Amino acid sequence: MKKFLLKTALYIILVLAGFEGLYRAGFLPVVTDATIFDRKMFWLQQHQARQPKFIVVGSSTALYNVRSGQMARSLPVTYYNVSAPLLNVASSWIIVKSIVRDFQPKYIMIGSNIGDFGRRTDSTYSYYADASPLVKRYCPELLYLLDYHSIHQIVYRKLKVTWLDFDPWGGGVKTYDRSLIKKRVANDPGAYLGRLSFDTVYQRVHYRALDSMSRWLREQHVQLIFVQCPIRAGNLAGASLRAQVGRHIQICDSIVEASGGIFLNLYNAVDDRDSFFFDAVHLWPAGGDIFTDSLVRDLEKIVR
Amino acid sequence: MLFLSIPFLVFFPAFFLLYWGVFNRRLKAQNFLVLAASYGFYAWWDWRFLLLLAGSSALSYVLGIMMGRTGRDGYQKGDGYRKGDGFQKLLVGIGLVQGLGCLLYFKYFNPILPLGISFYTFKTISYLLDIRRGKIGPERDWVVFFSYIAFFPCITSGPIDRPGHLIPQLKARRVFEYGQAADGMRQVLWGLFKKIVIADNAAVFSDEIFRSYRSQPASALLYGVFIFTIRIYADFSSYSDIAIGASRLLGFDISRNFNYPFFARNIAEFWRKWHITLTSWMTDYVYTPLSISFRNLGRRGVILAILINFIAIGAWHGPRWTFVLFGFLHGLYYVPLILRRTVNKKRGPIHMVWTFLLVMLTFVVFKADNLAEAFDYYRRMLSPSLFSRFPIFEKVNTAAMLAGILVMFGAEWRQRDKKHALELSRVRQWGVRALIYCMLILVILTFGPTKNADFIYLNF
Repeated sequence: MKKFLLKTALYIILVLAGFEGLYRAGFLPVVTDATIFDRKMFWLQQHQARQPKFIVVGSSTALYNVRSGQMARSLPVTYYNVSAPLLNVASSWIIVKSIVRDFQPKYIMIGSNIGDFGRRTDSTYSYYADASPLVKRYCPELLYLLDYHSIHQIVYRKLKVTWLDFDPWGGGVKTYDRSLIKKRVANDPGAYLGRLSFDTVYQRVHYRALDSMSRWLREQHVQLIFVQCPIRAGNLAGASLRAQVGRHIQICDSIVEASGGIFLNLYNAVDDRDSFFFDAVHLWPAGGDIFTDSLVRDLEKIVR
Repeated sequence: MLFLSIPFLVFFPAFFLLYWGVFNRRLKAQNFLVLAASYGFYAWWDWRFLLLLAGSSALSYVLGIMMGRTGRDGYQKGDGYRKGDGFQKLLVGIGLVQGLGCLLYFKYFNPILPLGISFYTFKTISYLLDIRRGKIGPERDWVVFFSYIAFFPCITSGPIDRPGHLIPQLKARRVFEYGQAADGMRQVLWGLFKKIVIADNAAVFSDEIFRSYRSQPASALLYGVFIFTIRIYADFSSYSDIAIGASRLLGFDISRNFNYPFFARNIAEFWRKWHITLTSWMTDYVYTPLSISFRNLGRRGVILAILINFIAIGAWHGPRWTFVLFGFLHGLYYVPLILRRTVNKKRGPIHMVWTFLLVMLTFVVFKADNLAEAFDYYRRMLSPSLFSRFPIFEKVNTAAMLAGILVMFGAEWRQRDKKHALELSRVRQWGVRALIYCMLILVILTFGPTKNADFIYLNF
């Protein structure tokens, strides 16, 4: 029996040592489907000393439009942006609970746009949310076991998905290739400039999620700040689309303020110029700077 | 609870240590632990159906005791009251109606299929029928009997062990043997290799090809059915390997369920090697009584019995006409063997390939959602695009899977006289054996797909 247990333990130790080696070499566990989100959360867990008191949650609009450096320098509290591409409102609701539990922030800012009220919820975020805070903080290597992913996938993520880098405050640092985007716009103007549509299938799910999130954050004494990010006016062709956007903004406003949250409408904070927008909702760095300036001006009155 | 899950990874080592370290002094306590663990294992999936499992076990237990008190000659021991053979038939009938009734209801009329119902029902039925046939006596120790029915390594997908094989093992004192446990561990490792590297990768590709078969060239459809055939074997046999290996770790010798079926040289041999415990169960309790009933019809009677037997095997898989046709076709493949009297004839390697192709092509019917889809798949497969190229996605996993298939067939061919491919008694140096295990562990951890597919036979 002892011989058997000893040999089995030896093989188990070998496997565990292998995974420890992977972790130390930066081949992090795959937790959610969002590589950048996983990387940021591991970074945050490893740097607990810098517990952020102001956390931004959102999709690519919050990731790239909100300029982290400006925010971190201007706000009187520690700041971090956990946004990830395609992180819609219902998925944000999944992780907000976990973020509040793990980091006890004073402010949660949802940087949102209409696209964040579409698409189905990404259930893989629940793998992160459901993981024990102790595991995440003291033994993140156990996350390799949480949801099985092969070493091939782990290595692939590290070596191939390299463009998803972020700055020390979690802001996206992807530099858009202007000539490439211009070429794409020339080939298919609709893809970047024309299409702005509402996903009516999942909209109610996201409104409900926003409502639950607002009320829950109030119970936790965490201030919710909901920011409506800019939309390129040129993309709002037609009265019906403009009315839809107006209605959407109104609904978000009423949901957030009903639970004591703060609604900041920066939907037209940036001039409708091609040098600022490269598609309907994403800004070039110059546009991002202008938008962040207006955001900071508003936040300075709120954040203490 | 599933074998490839975190709860099982915690449950089994804890159970193993308790089983051998704490409860090994008293057999009764050890069996009670097996029963408690089996019920816990089952309840983890859905505790409500635990009542059905316990109820079926309790009824069979009581019926068995009553059958034991009423001998076949109709003499009831004790008070001398004569009840006759008819009473024992009635008791078996009650057991059959309950078992088959529940099985038919849940399989064909209920949206939720209780986990393992097909497997534990066959155990209760064979228990009653074997008492009736005088092969075994009734089991009076309820802990042993309930453990036999619910034995956790085998409850969800078999093997379907006969009472005469497993109950005596539950009643005998078990002693930890290093050789048996180590071999059990090796069989588990081989099962994991087949499941994760081959079956789960094959599931991704075969599901995708069958889902979009209308837009795929014939060559992709052929590849799809080949991959599906490998997948179903690797998936189901890996489950059996893990179940048998886990049982060996606990000191039990469980019946073999697969004996390298793709090396069979005719369809009869294939079925003697594929899902052996189901085939032998059906042979004993369906085919043999039928062939006795039809004995006056000569070879036509044998053919009829085989066709009914295989249709029943097909229908056992679920409420779909595709399964019935799958069974019927396999029964039909027996006809030339019976007519030429070549059921047991040893043939050359070319027949191995032919048998594989026959089995592979029939799996189209098994996999398709309905008959129309199956025929459409065949029609599209027999088109000129059979020789065209098709795009391969996830190239690393495809390469790993194909290499895994080669390794599997190579190892199984070399080890075909052994119980499983990793029984490395030929390799004498421990260092080489350790290297093989380490390589296998590394391959398993490296080349799994994004998501593990459930074991296919959990659905049956």
